[in-house]
Amino acid sequence: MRIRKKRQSGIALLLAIFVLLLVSVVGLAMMGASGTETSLSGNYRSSTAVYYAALSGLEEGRGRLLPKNPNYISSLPPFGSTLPLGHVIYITNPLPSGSPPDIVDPTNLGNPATYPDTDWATEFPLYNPPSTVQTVPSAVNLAGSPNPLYKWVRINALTEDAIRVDVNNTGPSSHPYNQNKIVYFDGNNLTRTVAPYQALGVTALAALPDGSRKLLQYVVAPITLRLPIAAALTLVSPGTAANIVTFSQPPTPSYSFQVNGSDQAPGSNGGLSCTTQPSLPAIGVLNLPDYTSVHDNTLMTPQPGHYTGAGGAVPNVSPSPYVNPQTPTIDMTTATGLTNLVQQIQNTADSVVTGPATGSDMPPAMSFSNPMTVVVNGDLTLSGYTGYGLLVVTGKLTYSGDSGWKGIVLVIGQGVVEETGSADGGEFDGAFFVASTVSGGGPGGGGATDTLGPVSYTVASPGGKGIYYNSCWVTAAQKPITYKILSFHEIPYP
Amino acid sequence: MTKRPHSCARGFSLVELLTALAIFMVICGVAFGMLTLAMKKYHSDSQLLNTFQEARFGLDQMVRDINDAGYPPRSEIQSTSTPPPSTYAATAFAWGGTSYPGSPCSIGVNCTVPNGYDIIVETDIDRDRPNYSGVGVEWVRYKLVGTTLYRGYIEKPDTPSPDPDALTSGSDVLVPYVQNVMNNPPAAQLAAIQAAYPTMFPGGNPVPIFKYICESTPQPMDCTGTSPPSSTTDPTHVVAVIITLIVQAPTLDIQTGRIQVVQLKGQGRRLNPD
Repeated sequence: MRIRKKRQSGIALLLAIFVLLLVSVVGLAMMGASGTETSLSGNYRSSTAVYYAALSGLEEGRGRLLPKNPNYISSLPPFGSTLPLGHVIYITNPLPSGSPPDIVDPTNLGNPATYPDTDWATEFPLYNPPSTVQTVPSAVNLAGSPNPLYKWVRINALTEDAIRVDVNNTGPSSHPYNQNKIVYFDGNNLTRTVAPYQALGVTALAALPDGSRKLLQYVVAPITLRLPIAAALTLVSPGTAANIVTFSQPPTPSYSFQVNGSDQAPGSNGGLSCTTQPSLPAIGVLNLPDYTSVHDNTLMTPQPGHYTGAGGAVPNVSPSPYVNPQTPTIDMTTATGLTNLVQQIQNTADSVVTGPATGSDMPPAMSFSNPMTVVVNGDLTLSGYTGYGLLVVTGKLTYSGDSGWKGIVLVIGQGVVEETGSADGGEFDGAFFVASTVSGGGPGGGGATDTLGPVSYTVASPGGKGIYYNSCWVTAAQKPITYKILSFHEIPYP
Repeated sequence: MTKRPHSCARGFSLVELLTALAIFMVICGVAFGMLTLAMKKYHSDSQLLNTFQEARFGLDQMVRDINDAGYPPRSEIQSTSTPPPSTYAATAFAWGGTSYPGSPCSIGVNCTVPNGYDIIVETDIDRDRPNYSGVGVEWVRYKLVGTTLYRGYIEKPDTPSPDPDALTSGSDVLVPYVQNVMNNPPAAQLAAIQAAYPTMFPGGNPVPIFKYICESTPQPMDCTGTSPPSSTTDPTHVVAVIITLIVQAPTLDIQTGRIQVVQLKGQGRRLNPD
């Protein structure tokens, strides 16, 4: 009888389990359905998220190309020379913690888990694997928020084949895209002609924990001031009797000072690789009275041969130095244009010094391999000092014969330059520009501001080596203000 | 002593059995009812999810094409030459008319395309190996006709004064891409959807699939409307396109008997310069 009783309670248990099972199945089915819906909308969000993650990688890469950026990628070649093909810089950004650790190795093509750069081989079949690979860590570290989820950013030189654009328009149906010539930037367009500035490819891969990945690419190129340099020494005045250019050469007939408009590049340029540009006039002025003042009344004797340049005439002075269609935005022939230019340079300068200043006020980091942009608001006196980069002096520039500058010197403001003759051997390589933006003799002279005024350049004896046009230093002195995005597109990632 | 085993062996009374059976039937009925309902719900939900999925893929592709619009720009070919028009994107979003790429129209005023339901993206969609086939850029068009969103593309031609609108409107170019798109449905259908989803159509008006954001100062502005300031509403000023896709599932909701509609939003940003 006990057995029968047990069997009955067993049926109740079975029934209970059966009912429970039914209810569970229904519940699970319902949960499953809504779960699918959630994951689908999650997928959609992640495809947007991975796009923005990759975009943030592109922006880090683009930003760190700028020499002014505190996280500048120092392994890039000095500005003005070229990053060769086959040379790759990766910025890697693995997750800071986690188990197993997040490893980012774009060069390990065999391991999908370390985010391989499979795109490199299709872009550069002749440079696969790359000859030089440098890796720098990501600089993005925002306290309190997670790092962006991009994995790596690649920076490299470009060819036609890599971007699959017929840059020199030779007709792709008959000519395959070139695979071994660097693509340059002429200020507006890409070009195959060797130019001072180079277009770079910035490519970023982002990967989310859910597996979605995206590969995006920028083509970027540096935007610089692109000063319309048109003579080794340019002296700008309105050419009226009260506002004229005065150039005073050394009193002794056998002085050493020279102005040379022939391009000195390539030469000793601190690792910069440049090609020789067409010669410029030695001295450029704007108006005929200035030309008469400098050429006819001053330089015909005793040393006309110290002023040589384009065209071969000696002394070499051009009355119309301003033809430069590439920079319609910079006007160096009016006081307003020059004032704006000084302001623009000051906004992006490495150092702004209040005068009166001397060589010891110049930034100590400035060197042959690290040219800088310095603005001196006021007078500057250089003695036995050589600087590198772009120098703007709004007051009077006084220098000894053993001083010099490699790059561009702009004396815009009072427009007065004086060489003291106290020593010798200094040299200016690049370009030199003098203009007064105060008419009638500078501050205190009673003239109006924002009008071109008189300019004077006085050289004592022996006068130093003088001024030599050097396109390499002109390029190196004009560091990029920004890297412009020329194009953007997505690349399919396996 | 003799009673106890007897009472233990006593079976269930008829009433007890009937009661137990009734309870069991009720529980089973409820359970199976729920199961059937769940099955039906699952079926209708998967229809909805398929619709959702299809719309999502469509939206993803649209966003991708718009992000890449204008690639490659003219500035990637050297300035000292006149390249064939097919080798570069003259602009990111092409407009109708044989004067293209000259004299741009005004969106919402006199553009045949682009408008709220029609867009032509000029970009290179097939450059990447190994699927690389063409050397030129393409015109990719998305166009809503009735409740079907069509997509199609052609190689941008080199012939003089081509009309992007005319060349991409043929049925040999446009193919159905997303079905049951309800951004601009017939009035009765719009009313039905609005009854189920009161906020889906603000003001009872159709919802444009493409809303154009144009660059202007001090900030970018919506230039889809009918009478925005004319100087900034031509397609060359478009910097972003906000996409809204309203898609109806083919089946009704099994519980409520209502129509089922999903709305997806996305944004494509044009990063390539003119």
